[in-house]
Amino acid sequence: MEIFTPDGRRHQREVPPAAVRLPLSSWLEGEHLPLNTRCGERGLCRGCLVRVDGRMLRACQAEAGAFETVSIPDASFRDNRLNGVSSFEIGTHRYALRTRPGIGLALDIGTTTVAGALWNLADGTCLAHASAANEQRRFGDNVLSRIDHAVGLGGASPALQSALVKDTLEPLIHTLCAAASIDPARITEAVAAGNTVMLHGFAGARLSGFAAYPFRPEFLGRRTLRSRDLGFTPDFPVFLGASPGPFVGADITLGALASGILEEDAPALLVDFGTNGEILLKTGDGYLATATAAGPAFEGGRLNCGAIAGKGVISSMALRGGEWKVTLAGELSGRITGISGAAYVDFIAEALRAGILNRMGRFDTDHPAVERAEVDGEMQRCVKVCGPLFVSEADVAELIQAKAAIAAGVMTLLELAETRPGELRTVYIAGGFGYHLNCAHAMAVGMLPDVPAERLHVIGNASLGGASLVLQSDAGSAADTLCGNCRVVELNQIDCFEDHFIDCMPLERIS
Amino acid sequence: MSTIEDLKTAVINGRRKDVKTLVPELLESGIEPSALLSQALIPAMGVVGERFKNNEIFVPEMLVSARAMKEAMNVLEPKLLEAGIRPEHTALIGTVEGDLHDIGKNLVATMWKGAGFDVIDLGVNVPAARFIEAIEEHKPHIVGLSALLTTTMPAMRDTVAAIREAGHTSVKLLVGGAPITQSYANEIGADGYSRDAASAVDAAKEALGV
Repeated sequence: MEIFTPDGRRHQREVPPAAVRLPLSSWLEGEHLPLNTRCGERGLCRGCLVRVDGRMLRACQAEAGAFETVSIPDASFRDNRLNGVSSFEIGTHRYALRTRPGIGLALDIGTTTVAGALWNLADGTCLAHASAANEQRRFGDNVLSRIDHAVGLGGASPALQSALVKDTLEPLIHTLCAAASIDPARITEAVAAGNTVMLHGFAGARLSGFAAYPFRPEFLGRRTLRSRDLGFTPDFPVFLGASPGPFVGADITLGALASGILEEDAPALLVDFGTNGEILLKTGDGYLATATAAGPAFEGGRLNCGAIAGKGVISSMALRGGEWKVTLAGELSGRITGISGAAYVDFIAEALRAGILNRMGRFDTDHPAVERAEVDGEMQRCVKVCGPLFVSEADVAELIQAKAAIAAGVMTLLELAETRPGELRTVYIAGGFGYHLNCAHAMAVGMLPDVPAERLHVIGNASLGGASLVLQSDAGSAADTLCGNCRVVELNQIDCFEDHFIDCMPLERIS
Repeated sequence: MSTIEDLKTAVINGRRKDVKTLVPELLESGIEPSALLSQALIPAMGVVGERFKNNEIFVPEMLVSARAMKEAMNVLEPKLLEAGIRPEHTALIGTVEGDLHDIGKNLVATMWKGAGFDVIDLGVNVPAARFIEAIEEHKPHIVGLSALLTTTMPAMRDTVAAIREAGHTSVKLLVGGAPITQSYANEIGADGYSRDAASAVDAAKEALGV
């Protein structure tokens, strides 16, 4: 087969007889030409569209042996150089440091990206930190598709565990150790944060308990594993952080430790923007936590030009004198391939300010920037950003639903705590998406409630920061206390959630 | 003075607060509840559905309109019942067992009400036995099953099978939800499928042959 990749290269590969019936996307994966199989090869998304004989088809629904020539468009090619975040801040805390000889590894296992930091435990110095794409993405871009995959195999998936341990974490550990000039065999212990589904997949536990309500995860409390049992070559203990609930994970508990929210006066809010939005509200008498399904829009899913922030992807944009000024993630070279979720938020805020867009997400048809163009065979109102990239009204509608899900999650917790947004003393924004987000824009479009800038803190990968803190101090027990003191809210079971969701639809400030 | 047309416009534009004052005001002026339903609400939701299908509006605006419609129905439904007015067709709707998502299902319920159906909403996480019980109680013409998770699609399949096995072979079963496709609907033996809330009305009418 002749395969053309977006960089203009031509690859000649033989499809062996045993592979002719394989889905084209699976075979390409094995040939190191991975596609964006966002839905986990179920034919539900458009992530793996390839061009064959002048028409586009889903590679996951086609057989590898059926074609002579296939060309992979930009949007379908899975680029592994993601713009993950391994930077973090650790707020003031009152944990006793435990200095001792050894090299510690802190890990944050996210659905889309993983991040790690290597620490000298003797003096508490960070030797290296880095992030990488979670190779489990080939089973789908969200936790649900991973759960579905595992359930199909009876509950636990060795392939899922191996994609994480062998294909993701081992290379990451080698990168970290190389940067710090340390032999991986010298690692003495590790602490891992992550959402509950990722930690289950990491431990090789069954994911069946996440498939349907009532949710019954195999474990929530902290536990200690041996790296050898997980499939790593060097052997050391691996501590998994405690999670408050089935879909509210150790990433938010350990993130809370790093943020400093535990020491802060109530009411205070921590929003961890990842592939899922997790929200923790500190109230006068405890904590409320929830996870809100913003959907894949902020990772670029379901958007015409959407992409996960990575090389060649627009990471921010601004409207200046009628022109879109864009900033690219990674190096400033080569092609511009897509628009990141954070840049879409910039677009909406700027278009709203300029009157191109109204509060219900409709473009002003009299505005010179608005044109009608054919998208997927249907005429839609669009605004061109640069090159072939554009934003359509359908894209804006997807983003409105995503931002409303987050805002409604926050507003529901605030209502349960009988607190008004203006009363929030501190708001922490954590997570990879949050790190790249322009918070002023997020407030202008009503994704976050309005708070004065001085109360807002962008703290980066708090989950990795928290894992690092647990590694070096006695903070681990504080995470357990937090879990015990935390009411986990399932938004779908709260009556006011739907009302908040609809109230948060308009693109306007929330106060 | 406000008119029926004002109410229709308020629902189309999703102005819930206006709807809240308009409905009692129009009723006070002597207009029959059934006239408000047939001349304002049903045509309004027809316009909303049509605009959605033509890509003129998207889900956010439809949700806002549907909530305005719901506001009006909260006042009208008891009055219609009092007047002994019963819609011609009855629909049951619910999200299948294990699934707690209801925003899409609620939207379909409102669109069906907007098409003049009597809609009984069983809520979320509805076991097959509960569907069967409600079918026997309400004798609906159509039953809508919703699933938003790929992991709860098997529960949808099981529910369809259980309803048929219980001997309810003539009731029309319609399925929908983000991961559901026409081919899945065919595979599990549903009578109809709709990809979104606006076409759920067409799917229901088609299944009923009206």
